[in-house]
Amino acid sequence: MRLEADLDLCVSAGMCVMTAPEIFDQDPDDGRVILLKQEIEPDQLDAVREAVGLCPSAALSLTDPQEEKR
Amino acid sequence: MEELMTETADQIPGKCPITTPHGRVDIFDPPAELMRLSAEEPLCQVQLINGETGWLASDYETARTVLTDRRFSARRIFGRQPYGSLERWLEIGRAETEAGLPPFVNEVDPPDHTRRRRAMMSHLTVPRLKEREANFQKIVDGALDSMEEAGSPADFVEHVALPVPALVICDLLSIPVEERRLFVELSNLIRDPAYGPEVVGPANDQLHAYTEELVADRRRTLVDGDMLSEMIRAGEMSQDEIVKDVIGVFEAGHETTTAQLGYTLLTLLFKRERWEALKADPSQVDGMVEEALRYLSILDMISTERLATEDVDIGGIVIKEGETVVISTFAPDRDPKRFPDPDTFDPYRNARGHLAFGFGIHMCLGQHVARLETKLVFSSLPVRFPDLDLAADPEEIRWLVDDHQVVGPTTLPVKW
Repeated sequence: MRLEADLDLCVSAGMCVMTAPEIFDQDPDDGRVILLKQEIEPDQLDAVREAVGLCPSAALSLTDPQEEKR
Repeated sequence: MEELMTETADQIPGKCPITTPHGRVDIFDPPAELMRLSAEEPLCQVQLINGETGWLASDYETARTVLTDRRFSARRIFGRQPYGSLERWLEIGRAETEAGLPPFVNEVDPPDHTRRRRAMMSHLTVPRLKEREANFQKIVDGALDSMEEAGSPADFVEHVALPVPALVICDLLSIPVEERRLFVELSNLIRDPAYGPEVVGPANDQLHAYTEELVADRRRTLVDGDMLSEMIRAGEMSQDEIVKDVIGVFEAGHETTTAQLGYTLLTLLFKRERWEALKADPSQVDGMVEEALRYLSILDMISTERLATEDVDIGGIVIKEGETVVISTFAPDRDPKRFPDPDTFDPYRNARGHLAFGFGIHMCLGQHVARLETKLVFSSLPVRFPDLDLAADPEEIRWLVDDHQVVGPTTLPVKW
C-alpha cells in the first residue's frame, strides 16, 4: 500500500510519529510530517492505518496501487 | 454520593430547556444525564449562557465530525459558553479588547491560524522534545526533592503538580532561571480560585508587561534553539501575536497539566492496585498516561465551541449558519461505541484516539509536552516514593470548578 501526506493539511500534531515512529518523523523547521517510507509492507499496515486514523487534519492517506490501476 | 456538579445557567422562559450537564459524579464519572444524551441524542440542543440556543455534540463520532469539518469556525465569541458565569466571560472579553491583544492561536481560523501555529510547532514536536527530556527530568527531580524535604504528609499539588508544568514552560521559552520564580508565581496567582479580580487583574497586567519585556529582550539577543526566538525570527507574527501566544502558552499549559498530574495520581491511589501495578510494570507508563488522559478528559466543553459558517447537515440534523456547537470531550471519551467498557481505568488498553487534547486543526499544540511531563513524573514518583498513599479522604479533596474550566484537585495531601 502507498502512503501519502498532504503538507498543506498537516498541522504538525505528531500523532503519526507517536504511533509509528519507524514510518513518520517531523520536520525540524515547522514540525510537519516527513514520511520515512512510502511503500508500506503488510506487517506495518496496522500501525500505519492507526496513524492515518489519528491524524487530526486528515493529512494522511493509504491507497492500494492495484486498485487504482483498475 | 459526592457530586462535583456546579449549578448550570438559569432556565430562561421560552428557551431550550436542556442546560448542559457537566462535572463529575463520585469523583471520576460523567453525569448520567450527559451519558444518556451521548447514547440517545448525541447532537442535541442546549442553552448557552448568553441565552442563545446552541448544540451539544456528545458522542465520539459526532464530536470528531464537528471538530474536523472545516465549515465550523473556532473564532472567539465571549458568552456563548455552555456553562459558567456570563458576567465573568464578558468581563474577560472586555479586558482582552482593552488590552488590544489578538485572540490566542486556538481561537482564530486559517490562514492566520496556520501561520501562527507553524511558528510555534517546531519546538513542540515529538523529536524536539526528546532533546529536552533531560532538562524536564531535572525539573521533575527538583520537585520531588522539594516534596521529600517538606516531609510526609505533603501536598503533591503544591510541590509537584504546580511547579513542574510552569518550570517546563519557562524552559521551553528559555526564561532566565532567576526570573522563573516571578513567572511561576504570577501564573499560579492568576489561576488560584482564592483570589478575586482585584488581585488577578493586576497580576495579569504584570504578567503582560513582563512578557512584553521578555519578547523585547529576546528580539535583541536571539537564542539558538529557543521557541521564543523562533517565533520572533520566523517574522510571520506581529508583536502582539507573539506576546499573546506566549501568555497563551502559560494559560494553556500550566493549569491544565497541573490538574492532569494531580488527578492522575488521585486515580492511581484511589484504587491502590493501580499504583502497585504501575510499580510492578514500569513499562506500562505510556499506556497509563494515555488512559489517564482518556479517563479523566479534564477539559470538557471548553475551547470547543464552534460556529457554523454555513448550514451543515450532520446525520440529518441541520445546524444553521451562525449557530454554535459545543463539543464534549469527556462524554465521547466514555463512549462505549468507541472505547469498550469505558468507565474502567485500564492502562493496557489502547487509549489513543481519545479527545482529551481535542481534535482537528486546533488539537492541543502542547500535547506532547504534557505527555512527556506526565510520563516523567509517573516514572520517577513510584521509584522515589514507593509507599506513597493518600493522606486525606478523597471526599474531602477540594476541586477547581465552574469558571476554572479544567477539572482537577486544588490540593492532594499524600504521605509516605
